[in-house]
Amino acid sequence: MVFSSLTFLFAFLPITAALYFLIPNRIWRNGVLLAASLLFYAWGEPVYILLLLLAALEGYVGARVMERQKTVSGRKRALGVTTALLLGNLAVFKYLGFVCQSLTPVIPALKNVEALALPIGISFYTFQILSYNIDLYRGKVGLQRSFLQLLLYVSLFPQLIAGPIVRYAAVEHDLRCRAETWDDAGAGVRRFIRGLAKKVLLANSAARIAEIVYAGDAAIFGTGAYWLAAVSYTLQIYFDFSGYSDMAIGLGRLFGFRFSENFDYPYRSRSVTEFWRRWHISLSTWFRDYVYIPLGGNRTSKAKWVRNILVVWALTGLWHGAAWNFVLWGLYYAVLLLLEKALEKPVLQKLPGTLRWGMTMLLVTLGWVLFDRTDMQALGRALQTLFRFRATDWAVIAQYHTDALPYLAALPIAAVLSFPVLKKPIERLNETAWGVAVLNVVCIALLAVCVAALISERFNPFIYFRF
Amino acid sequence: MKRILNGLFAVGILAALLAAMALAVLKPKAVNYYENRPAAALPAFSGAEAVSGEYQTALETALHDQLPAAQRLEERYQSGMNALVFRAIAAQSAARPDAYYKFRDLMLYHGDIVYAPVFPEPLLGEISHRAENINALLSAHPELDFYVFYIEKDTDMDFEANAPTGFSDEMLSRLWLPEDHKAVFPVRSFADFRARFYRTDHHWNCVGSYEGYTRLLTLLGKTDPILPEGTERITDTFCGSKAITSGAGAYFSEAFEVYRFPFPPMTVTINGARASDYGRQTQPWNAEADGAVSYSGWYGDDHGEVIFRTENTGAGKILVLGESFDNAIIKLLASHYETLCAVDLRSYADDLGKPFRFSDYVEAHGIDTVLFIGNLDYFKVEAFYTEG
Repeated sequence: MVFSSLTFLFAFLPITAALYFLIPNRIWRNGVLLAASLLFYAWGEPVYILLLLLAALEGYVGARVMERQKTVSGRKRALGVTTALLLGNLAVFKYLGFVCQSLTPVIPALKNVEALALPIGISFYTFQILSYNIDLYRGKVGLQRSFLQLLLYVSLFPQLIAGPIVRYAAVEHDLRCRAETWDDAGAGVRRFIRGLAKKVLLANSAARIAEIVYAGDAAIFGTGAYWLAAVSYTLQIYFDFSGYSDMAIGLGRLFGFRFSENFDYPYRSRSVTEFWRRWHISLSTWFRDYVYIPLGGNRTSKAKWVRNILVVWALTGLWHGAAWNFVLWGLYYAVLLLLEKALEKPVLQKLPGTLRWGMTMLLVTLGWVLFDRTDMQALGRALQTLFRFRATDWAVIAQYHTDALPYLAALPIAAVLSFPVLKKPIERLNETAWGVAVLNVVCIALLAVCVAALISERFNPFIYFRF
Repeated sequence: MKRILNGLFAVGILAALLAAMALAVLKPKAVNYYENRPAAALPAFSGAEAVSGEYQTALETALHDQLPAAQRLEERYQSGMNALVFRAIAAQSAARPDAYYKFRDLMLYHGDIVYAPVFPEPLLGEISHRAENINALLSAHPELDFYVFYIEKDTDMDFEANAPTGFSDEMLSRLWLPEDHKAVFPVRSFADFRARFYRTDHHWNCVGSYEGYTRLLTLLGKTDPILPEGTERITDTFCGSKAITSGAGAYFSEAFEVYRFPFPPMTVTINGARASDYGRQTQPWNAEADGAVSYSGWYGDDHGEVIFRTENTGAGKILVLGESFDNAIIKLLASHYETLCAVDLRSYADDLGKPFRFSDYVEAHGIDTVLFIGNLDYFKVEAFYTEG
């Protein structure tokens, strides 16, 4: 099930909310949330829900075993086994096909190994469970003795299938005792609707432009069109993913949970370093805390530091997908970050902010081309078209791709809204009762338009759905 | 106050969503009037289908049709999108009228909505299959007189290049018929097309259908066409199915003119039952009582079988295997025969409750002449294939 589906909007959400709020007891409320979350996951993965339960059980049992160990080495061993099991799930269900395909030139027999269907959200919930076990090992969180409570943390439907990656420490207290308030409910629903509008109205519109260009006749769609597609995809992925995060955070708030922000207007960044502080914050901080710092971070020799950057970013790329373009994308950012570090003081700091922003956006946009084109041949074609000028027949496009016009009209709006132009006005409106009333009316209108768009446009999955 | 507003908002939204779902369950709709098809019903739960994902898909599909105001919302949304697109391309089309501009499933050309040209090259397989189907009947029934009449329209002409697509030539050249048993209603320029076809409907207008009728008579070796007694304008604001289904209904309308004919006496049987008439060609059209006029409303609908019997004993019995284009002329054509049987294979089986068997039909009705008549779709779509 996805948030931007009629089933979720009209059936799952209101029924879950009604059952939840009609029950005064915290334990039963958690029970409702757990049952709803498992139903939410099973709706899309009726078989692989067993894998989710297994992963949660591995994390739970691993934590209990770890707590029983009296020595550091014992605790380390327990953590090691749990980590191996959890990453093993990921390796089999996400990477087996990729590894076998890559090794086929060397071991031809591997050609017959078929990739398993990728369970929805496996990367997200695996990392969540890992974070719990690692934080328990580090003494940052207490043991969760109830399997059902841990399962609730892992499977909580607002963030289960596409993040943000919520640390156990962030919700440890909220699982036991949280306060659901009218203010949070109102703000949560508004945030949800805002995210829905980002996804349905902006992300889906930008997606259509990219689709038309990449599927179009190469004789007509040249360099200009490919750059338009690259920019469209840049906007699509931002609004798709940040829209989903808004919906997740909004839903969490409705049920009394406070999830951290996952996006902080990344397209205003003036460096790649800054971009990664603003984009998918929960993932980049996860890799920082659980991979980069344990490897030594930047408090080590230069050679090891470069190694750490390369490892983290190769893993970041791989986390996003089992294909070589994702590895390439991750390493692309590793190289950029290293170069940026080297050139920051001597060159980059001296450049005007606007130029730095332009360069950053160019690099980020190119990065998204690497990310989007999963087929290496298609990637090669895209990069060639972007950098080896080929004329675009805009006249023919204007004649035969007129259905793109409404979506083209949405692009400038999306571009503007990728900056925090509405952030302060919304904050000011939130301060007063009449301001809240205005926001409510706007959200009602947005919801109606989104529902109309959903009814008209049918199937529209999230990009990060299959990670 | 803020707290109250927030609470009311959250509860209101969730309650409204829940109420909409309840209405969808308690007051299901049978028809999606906006998309002109049966509405998908909410599926009954099945464990097996839930595991396969079919239940989830069916539920989501059904909600598109069943939610209250879904069709109105879809109509408003699509109208808004169409308006954006149409305004943009109309401006471009006005600046470059000799160029095609795609509008939904149609093209805008010289300010009119037309279908895109269909070239035969990608469809040679379909053309060959259709030819084989017709040729099989020709071979199996040497005792019958077969004729083919291909009605060209906008799909048969690349108006930009001002050249025919060649589909009709490809089709007719494959048929084992002498040249004088095949004919084309030609559309060889945009001016041709505009004069003889509706702007808002995909059919030929009264000028086009009458010309088609006279060409057909020549093909069939008949003489003395029935002359129109006069022209009548039924309405100035006709909007046909082409404009409506493409979302252009808001931007186009035209006059609906008809010829009045002195038809000879004839009996009409529709789907085996005696009928007072076929279409409304001999009756006045009352907008208040009859509603908005349509092509099929005036000329007659796509029934599985319509049989005209006249007093022209000995003038021959003709079987017309056609589609909606011939609705405008079968009554005229029937005037030259003793019996005219018009069969539309799309609806024959449903309307008559039995499959169409050519040999049996021809024998049962004493048919001596067979006419295949239709536009490009008739010669492309499998629904019109005729089983011996």
